[in-house]
Amino acid sequence: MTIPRPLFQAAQKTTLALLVTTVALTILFPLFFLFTFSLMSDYETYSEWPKPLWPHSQVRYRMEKISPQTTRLLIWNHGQSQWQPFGPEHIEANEEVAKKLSRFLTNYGNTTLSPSEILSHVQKAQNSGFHEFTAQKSLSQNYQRFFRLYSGAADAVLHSLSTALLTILISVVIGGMAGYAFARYVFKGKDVLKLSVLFVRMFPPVAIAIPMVVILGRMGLYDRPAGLSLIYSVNQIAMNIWITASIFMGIPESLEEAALIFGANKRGAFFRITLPLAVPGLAACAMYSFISSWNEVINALILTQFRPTFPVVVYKSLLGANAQVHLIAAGSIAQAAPAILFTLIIRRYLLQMWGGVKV
Amino acid sequence: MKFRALMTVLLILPALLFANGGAEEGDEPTRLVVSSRLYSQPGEQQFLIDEVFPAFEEANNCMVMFEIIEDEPLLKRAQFQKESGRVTTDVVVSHAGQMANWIRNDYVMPLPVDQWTDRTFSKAFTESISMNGQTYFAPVGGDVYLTLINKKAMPYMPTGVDPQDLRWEDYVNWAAAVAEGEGEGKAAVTGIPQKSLIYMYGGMFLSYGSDFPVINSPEAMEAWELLTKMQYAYTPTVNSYDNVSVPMKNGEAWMTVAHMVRCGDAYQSNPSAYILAPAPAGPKGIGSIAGTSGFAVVKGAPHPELAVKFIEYMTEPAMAVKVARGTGGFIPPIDEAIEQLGDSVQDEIIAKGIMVMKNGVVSGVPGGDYSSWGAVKQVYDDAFQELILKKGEVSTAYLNDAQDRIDALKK
Repeated sequence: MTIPRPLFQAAQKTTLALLVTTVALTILFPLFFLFTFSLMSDYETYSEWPKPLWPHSQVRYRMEKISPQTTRLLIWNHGQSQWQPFGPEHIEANEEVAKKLSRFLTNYGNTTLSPSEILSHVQKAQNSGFHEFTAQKSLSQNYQRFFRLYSGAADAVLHSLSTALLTILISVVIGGMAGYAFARYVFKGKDVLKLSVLFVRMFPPVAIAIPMVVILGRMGLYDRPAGLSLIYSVNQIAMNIWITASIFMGIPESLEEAALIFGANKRGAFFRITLPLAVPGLAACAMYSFISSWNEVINALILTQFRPTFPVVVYKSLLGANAQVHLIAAGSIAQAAPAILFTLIIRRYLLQMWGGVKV
Repeated sequence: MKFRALMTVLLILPALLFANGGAEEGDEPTRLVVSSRLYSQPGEQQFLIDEVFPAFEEANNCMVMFEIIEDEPLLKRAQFQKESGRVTTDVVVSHAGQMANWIRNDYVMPLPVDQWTDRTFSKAFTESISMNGQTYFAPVGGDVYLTLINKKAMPYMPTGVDPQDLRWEDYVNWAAAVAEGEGEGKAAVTGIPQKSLIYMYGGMFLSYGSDFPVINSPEAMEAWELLTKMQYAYTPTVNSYDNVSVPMKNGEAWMTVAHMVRCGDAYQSNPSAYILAPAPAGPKGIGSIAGTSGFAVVKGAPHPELAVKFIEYMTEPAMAVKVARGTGGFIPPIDEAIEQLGDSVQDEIIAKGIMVMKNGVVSGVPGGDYSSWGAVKQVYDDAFQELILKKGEVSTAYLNDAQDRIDALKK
C-alpha cells in the first residue's frame, strides 16, 4: 500500500515542525524559566505554587490587629489564593521593629516600604482591625542585589569581556592563517598535523592546572585576562583551524588566480577576494570562541584570584547564595545576556554561512 | 567596509585596554588576601566588608580582599600554590573537618595564641584547631544543631509535647504522625552522601550517651531502634537533599534537625511560618555536634605578620560578638564572647544555638583522627539507607560491620 503523496508531505511537515518546536523549547524554556525566576521575590520563589508564568509586579499585604499593642503581617499567596502570615509573628509599633520589617520586606518580598510607611499601615490596622495595601515590587531588585552583594561582579564583566575579545583576536588570526595554509598548500604530514592540532583539546584542564599556573606566573600573566585568553586560545585555535580550513577549501582558488591576472598581488587577492568570502566562517569561529571563553569556569577558577571572570563570580554565588535561587537566576541571566547579544550581532554572517542571506 | 573596520577597532581596543586586568598592586595599599569557606551568604559578606574590615584596613593601611571558596578547592589551591612556589593567599578560613589536612600538609603556620590572653577558645574545638601542642587555627563561626518545624505540622504534634523542649521520641512520633496523616513523609535530612547526616545522627547518639562517631554502642543502638520508626517519615525525595533549607523553605519538608545556619536560612525567610527550637533531647540531655571554622595563616603567605594581626583582630571577644550579631546564624566559639552575648541576644537563631552549646552534650568533629572523614560520613549514609529507608529495622551485625569500617579508617 502506498501512502498518498499529500498525506506523506503533511506527515513530513508535522514531524519537522514538532522537531523544530522541541529544539526551540529545549533552548528557550530553561532561559525563560531562569528569566522568570530572576524577577521573583524570595517569597514567590519558595512559597507560591504553582508558579505564575510571569511574576507579579505588585504585592498585596494585609495588616491585622492581634492586640492593642501588636499586629501581624500577611501576604497574598497567588498560588493558593489566600492570605498567609509573612514576617515576624508580632509587630509592635516602634521604630526599631519597623526598620527591621522594612529590611525584611526588601530582602524577602522585593518591595520597598520605609519604616514610617510601615508604622502608618500598623496604625491603620490598629484603628480598624485590619488594613490591606499594595506595594510595588521591584523587578530589577535581584539584579541590583546580585551586583551589589558580589561587589566584584561589575569588574568581572570587564575581565570576561576582555578575555573573550582577546581570545577571538588570537584564535581567529592564528587559526585562520593556519586554516588557510591547510586549505591551500600541500605538504608532507598535512593530514597528521591537521588531526594532531585537536590533541590539545583532549587534556582535562585540571590535569594541566599546575604547569599553567607556573608558566603564567613566570610570564607575569597569572590572574590577568591576557593570561587566561592565551589558555583559551590554545583550545580555540585547534577548532578554528578546522572551521576555517573547510571554509577556505570551499572558496575556489580560481577566484584568487583571476584577481592575480587582473593585476592584484598575492596579498591583495587574499584580502580583497578570499577574506571577504570567508567572513561567515570567521564569524562562526568568533562566535564559538566568544561563547567558549565567556562561559568557561574551571580554568578561570584556577587561574584567577582577584580578577575573576564573570562566570567565576556566578559560580561562587552558587556556593554562597544558598536557598536563594532567584539571585542565582539573576546572575545567570546577566551571564547569558552578552553571549546572546553577541550571537545576534553576528547572526547575519552566520546565516550567510548557511546560505540564508547573500553577501 | 568602514563599519567592519570600526567594529574591529571597537572590539580590539577594550580587549587590549583591560588585558592586564586593571590597576597594578603597586597603586593600592597592601592587599591581605583572605580566602574563606565561611560567611558565604551575601548578607554576611556585606556586613564584614561594610562594618568589620574598614577599621582594620584603616589601622594597618591595607585592603582586605575577602573571597569565598569551598573547602575542597581551597585546599587544592593551597597545594597548587605551594607546589608552584607562588603563594598569594594570606589567611584561610577552613572547616574543622579539613583542618587536619591543612596542618598535616604543612600549608599553615602556628599561631601565637599564648600572647592572646584575653580570649579562650571553646573547649569543644581544641581537638580540631591544634596538633602536637601547637595551635594552627583560631576558631570562628561555631555551629550546633537545631530543630525547625513548619507550623503546618502543628496539627500532628503529639499531645503534651512542648516544641521548645522536644525529646527524640516526640520528634520521631511527630514525624511518623505527619507521614501517616499527609500520606507521605515530611521530615528532612541531607540524603546526598557525605554531607551532614552524620552530624544529625551523631548528635542524637550523644544525647543517648554514646560517643562520636561510634555507630554501634548500646546507646547508639537504642537511638537506631527509635530511628527505624522513621522509615516512612522522610520525604520521598530525601535522597536528593544536599542541604535542608530549600525543602524547608518551599514546604516540601516540614520537620528537620539540622545545622543552625540551614535552619536559619528557612526561618529568616518567614519567621511566622516556622518554629525554631533546640535539637531534641535524649536520656543524657540535648546532644549536638558542634562544628566550627578557623582562621589560619598560610605558610609562605606574602604578608604573614599582617595576617596574624588580622586573625587577632577578628577573634577579639568584642569583635567576635559584633560579627556574631551582624552575620546572624553562627556562635562565636570564644568563651568570653559567649559570656558577653549572654541573654542580650536578640537573634533567635544564635540564642538557641548558645543554649545548645552551653547546656548540651557537645562534641567536635574528630576529622583529623581518620584517614578520610568523607569515608566515615559514608558509613553513616550507608547505614541510613540500609537500616532506615530500606529495611526499617536495626541489624546488630550490620552496625558492628559499619563500626569496623570506621575503625579501619582510624589513623
